[in-house]
Amino acid sequence: MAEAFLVAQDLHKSFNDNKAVNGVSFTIDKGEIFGLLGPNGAGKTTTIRILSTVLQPDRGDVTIGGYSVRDNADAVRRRIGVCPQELALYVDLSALDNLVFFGRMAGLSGKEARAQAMANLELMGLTERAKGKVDKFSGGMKRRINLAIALMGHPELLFLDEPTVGIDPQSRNNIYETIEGLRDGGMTILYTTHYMEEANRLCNRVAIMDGGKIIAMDTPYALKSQIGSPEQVTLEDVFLRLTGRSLRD
Amino acid sequence: MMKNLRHVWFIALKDLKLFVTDRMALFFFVIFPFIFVIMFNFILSGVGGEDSRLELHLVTREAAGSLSHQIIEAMETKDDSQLRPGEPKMVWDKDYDKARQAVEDKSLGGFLAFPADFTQGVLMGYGAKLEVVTNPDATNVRAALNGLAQAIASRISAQHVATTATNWLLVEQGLSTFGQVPDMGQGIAAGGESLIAFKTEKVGEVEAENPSNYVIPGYLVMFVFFASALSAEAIVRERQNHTLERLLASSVRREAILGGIFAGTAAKGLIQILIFWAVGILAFHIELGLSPGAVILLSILMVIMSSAFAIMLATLAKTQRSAGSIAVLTSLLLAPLGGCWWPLFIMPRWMQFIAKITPHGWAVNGFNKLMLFGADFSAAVPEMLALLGFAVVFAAIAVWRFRTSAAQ
Amino acid sequence: MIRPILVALLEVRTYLQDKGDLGFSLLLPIVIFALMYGAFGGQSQFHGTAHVVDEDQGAPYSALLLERLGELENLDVELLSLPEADSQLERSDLLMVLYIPNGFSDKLASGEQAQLVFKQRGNGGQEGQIVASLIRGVVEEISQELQVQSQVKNALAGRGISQDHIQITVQKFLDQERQYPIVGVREETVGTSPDLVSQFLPGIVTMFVLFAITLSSRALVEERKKGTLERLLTTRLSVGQLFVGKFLANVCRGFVQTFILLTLAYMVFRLFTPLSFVEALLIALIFSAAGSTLGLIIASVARTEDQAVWTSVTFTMVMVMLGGTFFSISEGSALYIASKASINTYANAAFKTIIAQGGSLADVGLELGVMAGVIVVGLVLSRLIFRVMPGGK
Repeated sequence: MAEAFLVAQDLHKSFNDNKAVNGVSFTIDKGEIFGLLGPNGAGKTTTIRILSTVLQPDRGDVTIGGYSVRDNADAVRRRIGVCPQELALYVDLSALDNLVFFGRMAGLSGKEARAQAMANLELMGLTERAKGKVDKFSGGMKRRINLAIALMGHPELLFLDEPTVGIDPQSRNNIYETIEGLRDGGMTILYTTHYMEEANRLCNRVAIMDGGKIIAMDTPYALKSQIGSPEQVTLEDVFLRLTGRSLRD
Repeated sequence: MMKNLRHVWFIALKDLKLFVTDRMALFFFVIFPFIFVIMFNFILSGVGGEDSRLELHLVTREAAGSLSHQIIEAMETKDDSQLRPGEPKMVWDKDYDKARQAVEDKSLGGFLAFPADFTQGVLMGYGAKLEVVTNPDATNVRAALNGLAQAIASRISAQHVATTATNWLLVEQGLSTFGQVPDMGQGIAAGGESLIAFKTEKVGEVEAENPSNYVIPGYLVMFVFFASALSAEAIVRERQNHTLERLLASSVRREAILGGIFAGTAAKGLIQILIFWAVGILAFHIELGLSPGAVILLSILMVIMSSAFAIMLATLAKTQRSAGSIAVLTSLLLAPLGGCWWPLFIMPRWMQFIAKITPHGWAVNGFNKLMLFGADFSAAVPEMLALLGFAVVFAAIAVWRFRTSAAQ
Repeated sequence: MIRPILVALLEVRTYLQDKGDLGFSLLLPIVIFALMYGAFGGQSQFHGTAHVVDEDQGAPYSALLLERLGELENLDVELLSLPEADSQLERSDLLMVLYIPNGFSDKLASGEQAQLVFKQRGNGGQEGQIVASLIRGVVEEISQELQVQSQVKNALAGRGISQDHIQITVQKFLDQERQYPIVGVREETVGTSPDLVSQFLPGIVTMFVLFAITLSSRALVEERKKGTLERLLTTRLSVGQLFVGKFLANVCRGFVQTFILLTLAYMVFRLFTPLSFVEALLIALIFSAAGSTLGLIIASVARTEDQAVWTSVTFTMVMVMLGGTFFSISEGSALYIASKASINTYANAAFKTIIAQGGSLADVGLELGVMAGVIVVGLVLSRLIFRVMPGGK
């Protein structure tokens, strides 16, 4: 049995009267890609921000690699990499400068940061654009840089918050292959997306959130089996069955 | 601790790198202030070098032979070459109406007039009033004429007292006053040597003040603050595009982020003051006074205060646009209030008081003390402490309000 | 033509709803005007400093002199040591110092003539000469008081009246004389005061209108970068119409701003007749249009928001200073020639003619013509370089 790398227990978080996360518990095993799905406003991004130590939970705790986010946030941060939904880049700097800067922030020496930056750029197929200003990149290239930054510092756990929004199939495919390669290399990944086929392809298990709670959690195959033949039913069907068809904020 | 300092250093370095990529903004950052310095040097050149001899005009409305005629005759300058340095030239204008018209036309600043009943009023004891007639612009002439009027009045008063006291004492003792009481008119007209004489020693000529000595500090204060305040917009932009949040999710502490942003902003300010002083000394020949160290320290404190203000503004402003607007607004308000656009010491007292609620006012005052009025280091310590105080307050608010996510 | 007007109206509505923008464009000029009026308005009084070296320290007559100098409202007294004073005179930090020598009081007490020394550079500068004049007045007063004592004593010598009694009586009359002097001084001011409202008001109004218009270039750059300008083109709005809309928007903003400021000026200072108010508004409209073209040029040239802000502030401050807002520029100087390049020069001159001199539009034909020329040239130039998309058309 694989060891649990991330353990989230009874997480609660409110903003004024809005309960964004309402008793979320789950574990992620080492080397697993865990999908976190849910409609807009379900609490996915808030959950990720708690797990990545940006927000403190009102109640509950998370341990990552044995370290608590409440008591040992610094040790947690050394083990994680975050690729946020928004493009968190310095668009006026070059791709290389962006990676080196965040590498230095992650504790790498100048030489290490540069070496890793070049390696990550090669992984993303952007070696030739290393010195180019990010401002001039296409949307797909910016997403790949966004991911490359998250890999600086050799994290053990990667948070990918909708990493393929608004990019072409080629860039998306490149990102899928990169993620699969990382998983094969032993990295643990928490993946959120609105694209069900992505979750179906990449994730070992998925959790579906709605209204701040996890309403279903299992392998994609098992979830599909709950409502019909897994060969005919899609994960999207499962999602819509569980969360409903009404529009969300 | 070392790790935090490294993070501070890298964040500051990153900010400086971002700053130099925008060549046009960098150009204005450097060149803009000097456009003003050059303009104001033009406008203000020659100011402060005025040393022309005061000319005071005297007029009487009495007939010839009166007391006022005798006084003016005694005072009138008959030979300019006999005047000592600083001694005013006394001019006797014979026509009251022409003199008054000249004042109205502003070809003459003002004059001192003896009224038609002056002699009678003085000798009969019911008094008289000297008239100081000036136009509204003639502040200096008005003060000088008032001084002259007081001198004349006090001489007459003395004679009046002498006469009255002598008379009173004789009457009190039951003695005859005939031939005993000094003639007041004679006493006034005779004048006589004063018990206190003046000697004038000239140690050199008046040199025109270099206007750069007060223009450059004023604009340094304004533009260091302005540039720092505008940095607030860049800081808000980092918050809104989530790069700050990203830093937090790595192992960078909040304090290191704040310190790094502050250090980056301060570094830009230090570069700015270096350019200001270098160009000021080499191109504009400014003098840093008795204590150049104090001038430099004051400049550094100004940079620290401005950077703290920028961080505070970034934590208070919700959007980039509001950060930019508030930055421009506060800069344009505090600069004139604080005496950056015109010397504080020519302003009314109440305005000099209001300047003290601005950090600009303290900074400019410190620079003026050191560079214009020959003060030493210790004289500028209150100003340094005031700037430090402002910096501490701004920094405290910034630390309290600092947030890295727009949603938090 | 409807669409550009709609674009313009949206901007004006946004402006009127934006508290920050309103504060900047309305409140700040009022505050700055009030500051300048307070600083330079009213009849200013001379205030100087007498720098004194007292080597007769603690002695009665030097103390009396310092006390009497301190009583003067328009004079501060600063005591310096001898080395301090000498070095400051040497460096020209001071132009005039009064030295009270050692033994000053002793000499006066014994009835001898005493001496005070003015050490100075040249004539002592303007302030120094006036301070010297005030010092002489006070010294004369003290000298006369001493002389009166001896004068009365001499007059009554041998009359059997005690010296002490004479001294006390004379002092009593001196005190009375100080309270009710036989010769007083009356001040009269003739001639007109400079009309500071008319002098400063046009400059401050044009300064903030130009600031507001040029700073709005920042918003245009932001819109271009975000893509909202481009989005407008996906409606039936053409680039030309969009350009006209943005131009009209700035003109309307500037005009509304000036209208509010001039209306406030009318209510507070009663500066206008109804006709001159309308004429002033027309000048405001033309000035706003000229400023608007310049704002569009800045928005087209600037690639980032920072560049737009720096360019706007630089440009506006230079125009304002050359336009004589804070200092009048003497004719014939190099700055006077440079001031002809500032639209503020023409706008301020036109406003002053209408407001302060009671002129009409016919008297400001040159100024209006120049501003109209700026509008035409500015519109052509800004239209040529106006871009909707970054790096694009």
